[in-house]
Amino acid sequence: MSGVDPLELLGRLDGPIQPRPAFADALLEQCLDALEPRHWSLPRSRAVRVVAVLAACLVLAAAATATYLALRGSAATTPRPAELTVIAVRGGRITGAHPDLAAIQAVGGDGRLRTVWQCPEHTWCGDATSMAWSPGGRRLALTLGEIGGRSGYVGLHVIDVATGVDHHLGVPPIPHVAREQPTSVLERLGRAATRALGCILPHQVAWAPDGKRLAYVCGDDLQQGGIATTLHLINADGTGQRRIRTGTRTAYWPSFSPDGSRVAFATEPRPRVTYRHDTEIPAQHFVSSVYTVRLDGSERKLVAHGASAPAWSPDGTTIAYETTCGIRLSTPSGTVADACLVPGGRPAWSPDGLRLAVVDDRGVSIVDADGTGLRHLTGNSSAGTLGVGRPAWRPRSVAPRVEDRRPDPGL
Amino acid sequence: MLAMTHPEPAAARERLSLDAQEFRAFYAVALPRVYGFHLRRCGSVAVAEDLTQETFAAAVAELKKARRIDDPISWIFGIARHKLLDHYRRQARSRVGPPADVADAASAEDEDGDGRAASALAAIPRDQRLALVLRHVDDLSVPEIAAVFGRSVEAVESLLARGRVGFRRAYLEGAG
Repeated sequence: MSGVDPLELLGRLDGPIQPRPAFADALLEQCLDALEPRHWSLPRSRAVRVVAVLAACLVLAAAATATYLALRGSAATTPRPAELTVIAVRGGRITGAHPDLAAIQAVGGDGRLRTVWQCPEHTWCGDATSMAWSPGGRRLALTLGEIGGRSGYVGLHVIDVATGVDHHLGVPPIPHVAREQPTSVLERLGRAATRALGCILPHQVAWAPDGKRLAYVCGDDLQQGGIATTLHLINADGTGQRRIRTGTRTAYWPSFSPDGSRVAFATEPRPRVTYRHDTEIPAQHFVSSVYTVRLDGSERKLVAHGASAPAWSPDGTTIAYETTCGIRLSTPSGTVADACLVPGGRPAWSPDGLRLAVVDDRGVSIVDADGTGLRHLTGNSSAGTLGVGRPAWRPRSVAPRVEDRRPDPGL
Repeated sequence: MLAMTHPEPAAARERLSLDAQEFRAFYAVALPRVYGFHLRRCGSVAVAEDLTQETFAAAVAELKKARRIDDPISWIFGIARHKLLDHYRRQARSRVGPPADVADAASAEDEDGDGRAASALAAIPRDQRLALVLRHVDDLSVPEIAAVFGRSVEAVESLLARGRVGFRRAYLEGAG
């Protein structure tokens, strides 16, 4: 090679490399699963299609008439349907809010986005990492994280969207929250948050059915290097924090049972993950499991292996979770009830238990609980340093008087 | 544009449809190339596997919409390139991350000239390596690289100059 500039060799570095066989097989299986026609495809016969369309029109007309009559009889008392909300992604295709500020947006049936909450103007809040609505739909629990930044806003917030009151749990109020904070202030906030919440960066928040408590996970897994992400409970006013001893190495994606006595969780953030901490140590591969456990850490029960991001249905009979082949449904005792519903992603049940919202790299979709009626609502959602959690349904039995209220920057 | 210098077998240049057997044949040809593409640019098996998975997931989603793809190898490399640039941007934005797994990419090469080049490339700091790959392998211009990194053109030129010196030194040390 003497006489040749080594830089010229760089252009030749594009030959094939065989990946691990296990990885190649799993990826092929995932691709073929995604390519298979779904069982909700229309029948091929034209006559059957015509009959099916006519039947659907009749059903729709009957439903519309029934809805009209019902609304006419009780317009004043009927709660509005729940609306689906997502985290606005900086740099991604879910947009509509200020591109540099964290925001929560409601997704309309036509895919249009409407900002429900946005980081106060001129305040760098960090990245929204997860959210959950209280059972009445009035309070928003929101976690924000940031790596290497200087925001005093990161942490767990409970925001009353009707009044705009923003409670930053476990963190004392600081003056001039809109400004970048000096290191001494960040250290003080970090110590206070660790005492009150168990860590600085809580995420994957879930609201208990009684509206009084929140579950979240805590730990440094944001660069896939953490080993101690744990499950915690806290009262909505910021008091009474305690860890749920799950008996597992890690815990992710808490979801309460409807009676609030148990919580479902996963042992990894995705169904299958690979961690590599150091070049000297071989990569470690983990398969996630979904369990349920009582809030005191007792009576842990396995629901599924190779699964993550569980979501407990409102009637308590079903747990939806993410697998490598898509969303699957199971009973809490672990009986798989159905084949893979949709290609994949993290599920969230609608409050009436009739639909699932799913978010993954392809964006946000809605599917009926029986696997029919798949609708893709938004574009890509995978951008952003920290990614997004999962969508959240906002119950609207109590209609907020004010939309788009922003937290008080003076807090 | 990102380079793809190796000739492909005839089957991989043909059309691709939703047929499972056809996809398997395409996958057998495309997977090692896409994986190698990502591994050499990221230097980490874990990151390369993630990006490969993202690439194929996006490819399948696009295939289901288009139903038929002409010249599928070029097509999937277009997707891979987008995924890689997204990854670079995320890294540049976060300014933190796991250390590069310098041994991974180098160990995949034989100890010939190309292998020594890969080893030398793996031995220089991450930002310099990314800049060199974007400039000399992927043929991006300096302003384009500056946009990827979110830095000034002058800073990227300085990065490239240091990277070239470090790469040549590492290459010659490997020869000795």
